[in-house]
Amino acid sequence: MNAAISVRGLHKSYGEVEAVRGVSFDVGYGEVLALLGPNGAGKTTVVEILEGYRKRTSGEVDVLGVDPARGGVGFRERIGIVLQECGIDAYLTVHEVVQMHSEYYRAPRSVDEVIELVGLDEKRSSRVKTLSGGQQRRLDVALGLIGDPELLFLDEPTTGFDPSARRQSWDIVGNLTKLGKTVLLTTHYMDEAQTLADRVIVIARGRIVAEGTPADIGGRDLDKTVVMFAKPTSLDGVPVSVDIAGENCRFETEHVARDLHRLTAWAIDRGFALDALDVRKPSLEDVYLRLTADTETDTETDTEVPK
Amino acid sequence: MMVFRQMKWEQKQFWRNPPAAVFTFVFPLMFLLIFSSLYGDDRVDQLGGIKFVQQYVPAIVAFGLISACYTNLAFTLSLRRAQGILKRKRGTPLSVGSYMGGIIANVVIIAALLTVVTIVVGIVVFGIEFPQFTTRVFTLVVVLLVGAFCFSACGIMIANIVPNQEAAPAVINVILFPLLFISGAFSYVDDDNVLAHVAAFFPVRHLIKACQSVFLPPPQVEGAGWEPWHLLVLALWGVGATAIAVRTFKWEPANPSAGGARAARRRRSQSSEA
Repeated sequence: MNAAISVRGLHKSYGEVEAVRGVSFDVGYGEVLALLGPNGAGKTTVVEILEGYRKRTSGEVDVLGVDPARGGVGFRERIGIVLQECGIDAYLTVHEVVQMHSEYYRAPRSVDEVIELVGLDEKRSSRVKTLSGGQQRRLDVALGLIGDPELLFLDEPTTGFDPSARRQSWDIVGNLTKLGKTVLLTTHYMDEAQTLADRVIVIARGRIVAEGTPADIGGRDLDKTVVMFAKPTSLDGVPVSVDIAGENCRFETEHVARDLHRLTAWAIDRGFALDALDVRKPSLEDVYLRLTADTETDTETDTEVPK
Repeated sequence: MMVFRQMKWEQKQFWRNPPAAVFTFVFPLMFLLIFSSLYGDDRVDQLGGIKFVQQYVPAIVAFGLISACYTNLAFTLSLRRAQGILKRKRGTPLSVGSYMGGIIANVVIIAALLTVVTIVVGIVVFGIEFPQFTTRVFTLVVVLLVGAFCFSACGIMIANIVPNQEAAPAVINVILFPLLFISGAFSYVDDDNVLAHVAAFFPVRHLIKACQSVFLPPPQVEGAGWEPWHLLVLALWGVGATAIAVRTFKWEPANPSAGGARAARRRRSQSSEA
């Protein structure tokens, strides 16, 4: 096996509801793969099948050379799981919980080292129930790491984090990949996928709608650059063809340097400041929204009713 | 080894949760003090005129064991299931046997402690006797072990039908308290009473009777105080409840999409946005 995870034609139905409808992908050893998709797209169902929590309806699944539906204690020695919002024994301290979980593994990492890695050393003697949401989430990550797993599942690891806590978590994941660990990540945040992932898969309504690197997914690398600026008092003789949207002007171009040079030369001539000038490629978020348009469901669950 | 380690962690958690510890410990002792103060010196004619408290202390020993093994265990398990703690354990190499073994060993220790405290209070405060202590203490240990098996199994079985965290106290106590009443945990219920005939179908009365037999002096009960029939009923309930508990056991709440975990996540994300 040269892939840490290999999925072929995966289907999962809950009664008549088809949550996952034929998903195939691979994750190489040492790779960080992000699964993106709206609520109800089937992300969590896919991940929980790979973790061994759910049985698939049909298809082939191989995780670290094992079928997770039959993976026992030996399989769980080798994986680390950071679930979505999952309770922790509230009356133990941070150090005690990590210590307790380390006893479940044959070759765990050092308890102190893992606590430090997730930035909870100052809270090591605090009871779990006194931790903030973000601190509990970091403890979640610590419990996922304590067994020194080859493969780590991160299901929306930074939901509810403040920006600095998110960056800290990203550093933790970044350090893992330096150690050659394989990471499967689900997230709602485009910047998270962009920062962490080598490869991105977008799932919508139980199917893969796009796959690629954060830079080229959905033809993003081929998209034109968008230039925007606040509408000046006059657009007389402007050297590019602009669309006016409210107080802003906007144009798309494949020749960024040339057209910007022309535009700024024209503005200097006229004495315009070109306020709020913004030059950018469509963000991963733009691409994501385009790819998943029409598939947003208003269900809160991870299953959806076929239309 | 793993069972022992897990038991150690369970002990730590139990004593650090004062409401649960108080509920499990104080409830049986409170009933002992209240009813023994009220009726302690009354004579029970049906038992050859022994003092009420002489047959009430063993009834509270039974209640204490049920409080630890059934009530406390069912609460702990249903709460951990609703909060996703069971699901988290499922994702680690910890075996089911070690985890459940640690939890059950923990409640057995609590039951043993509670038994000792109850009997000591009975002797010191209410002046009961422990007849033929040297032979009957062994009988009592066997009765309590069979009882612990039966009620731990029942606790796990009932925890499986608790639909969510909020329903846990109601489901667990609604089943238990009527049985305690008709089985004689709060007052003397004679064998001829119609309530006793109903209670005979359930394990509570059999544990109470088996404990009482250990404490009834001759001539009411001779010898070591064995009650094979009551022990057999307890064992059968234990086997049946174990079979059902194993079949119905779930690591996650029955309906995770409507359950506590997601609701908690929504609450948490709302509060962090605020």
